[in-house]
Amino acid sequence: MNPFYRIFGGLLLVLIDIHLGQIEILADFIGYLMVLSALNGMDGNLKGMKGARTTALVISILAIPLAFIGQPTGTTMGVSISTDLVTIYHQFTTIVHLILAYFLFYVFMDWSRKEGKEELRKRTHKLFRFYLGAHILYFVLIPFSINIPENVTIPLFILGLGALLIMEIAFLVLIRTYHKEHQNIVPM
Amino acid sequence: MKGKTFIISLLIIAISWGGNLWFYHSKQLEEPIFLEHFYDGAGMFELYYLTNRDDPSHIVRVEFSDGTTLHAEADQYAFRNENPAYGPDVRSKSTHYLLKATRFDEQRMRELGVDHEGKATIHFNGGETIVADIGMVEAGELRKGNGLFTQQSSSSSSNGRSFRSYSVKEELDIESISSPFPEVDDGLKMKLYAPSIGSTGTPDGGGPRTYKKELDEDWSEVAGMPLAKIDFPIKMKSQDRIRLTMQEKKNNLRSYSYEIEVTGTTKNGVPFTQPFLVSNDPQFTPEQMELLIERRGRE
Repeated sequence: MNPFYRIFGGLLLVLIDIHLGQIEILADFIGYLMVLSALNGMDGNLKGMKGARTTALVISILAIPLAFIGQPTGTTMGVSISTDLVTIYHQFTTIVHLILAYFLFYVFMDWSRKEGKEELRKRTHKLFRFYLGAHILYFVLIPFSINIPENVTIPLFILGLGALLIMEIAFLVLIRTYHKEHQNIVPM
Repeated sequence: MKGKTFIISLLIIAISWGGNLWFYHSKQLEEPIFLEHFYDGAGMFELYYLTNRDDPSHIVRVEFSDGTTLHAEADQYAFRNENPAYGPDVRSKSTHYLLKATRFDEQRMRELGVDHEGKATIHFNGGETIVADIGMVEAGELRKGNGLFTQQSSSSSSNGRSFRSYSVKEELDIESISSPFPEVDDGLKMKLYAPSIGSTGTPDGGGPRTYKKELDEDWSEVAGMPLAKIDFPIKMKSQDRIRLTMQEKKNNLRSYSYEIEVTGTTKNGVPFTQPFLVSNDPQFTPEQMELLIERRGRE
């Protein structure tokens, strides 16, 4: 399996959440481990690779408890985020996830540059800006939800989550393109 | 996005979390704040208190100043919601607080003869115990009907307006009106309407639509005369209507349920007492919750 395909599969696993009671099947940490193993199989001299490997390792360990503690109350209640430690921990891992995505974008851009695929590099750079911009804005605004009235936060939540989901899907589609490009270079 | 910009963005996220968590914690109450209650045994007894929004505990029992102990009605917790803000006892909520009400059995209160004033000891299900001034709580006695008054209608609105209306079955004179809690009446505007009282506004008897209108009308337009200005006796003929309209002043943050006593004599010379229930159902805006914390939070 080529590395891009494994990164794609890993991140898809992270995106899909299926809970059986407290236990999450298709646990996130398995997805992150897939990303980590894919990165280890790639050229270590790519820009951002060191950061990506480190972050993938950190989040693989960090995400293990997530599979067993269930979703934070903020998610099960639908809207209002609570301030308990589980929620904070959950939020923290999503930020580490963003850091991982940041480094992955760098790895991808450097890979496409080295392979001489300028179009793909440009496309990646464009999504990179949107992806990070949307996530940072969302993460800066989300803590305000504990201090402002529900009727304001609910529409914002829906809008924000919708935007983030679109970004995640766009990222996955992009990785699939990388997978195809990679297949064209190294026929299996 | 360069590494530096990204790190600054992460810092801003951290500051946003830190700042909001700090503000959230600065708004937390150390312990629930109880409303002042005025209860004389009429209507329902509910204990109102303001608590933190994520506080899942509820009252189990109350020790009154006369030594009696009363357990809360447990059935309202039969279907519990995981989120305290959607519990059955929540009357109002804001971003940081919940106004909760706990029900008690009035019959049991009468059996115990509860006579309370001032500080009570309140036990919560989490084991927490607090001492707080809850006002005046008396059990009272069940009244026997006099058969003279027929309830026509009663209604109340969230703007603090409520009324009760009766018709009388025979000719009688109302000689006085008295209240067990004159201090509550001070913060309450009351108007009494009867055909023989020179009155302003719409007369009673116009059907449901008039009642609804009466709840939203300007106070000066409400039928009747302020209680303090009435000349007794009030003469009433058979089938005459009498109506008491009440208007709670804004920001009177308290709970009450008691009876105003209307006394008089029938045409045949038989004395009677007719109770008029005066009660409110506190529901607070976020601003009123802040006001309550300011008034009763640091005692």
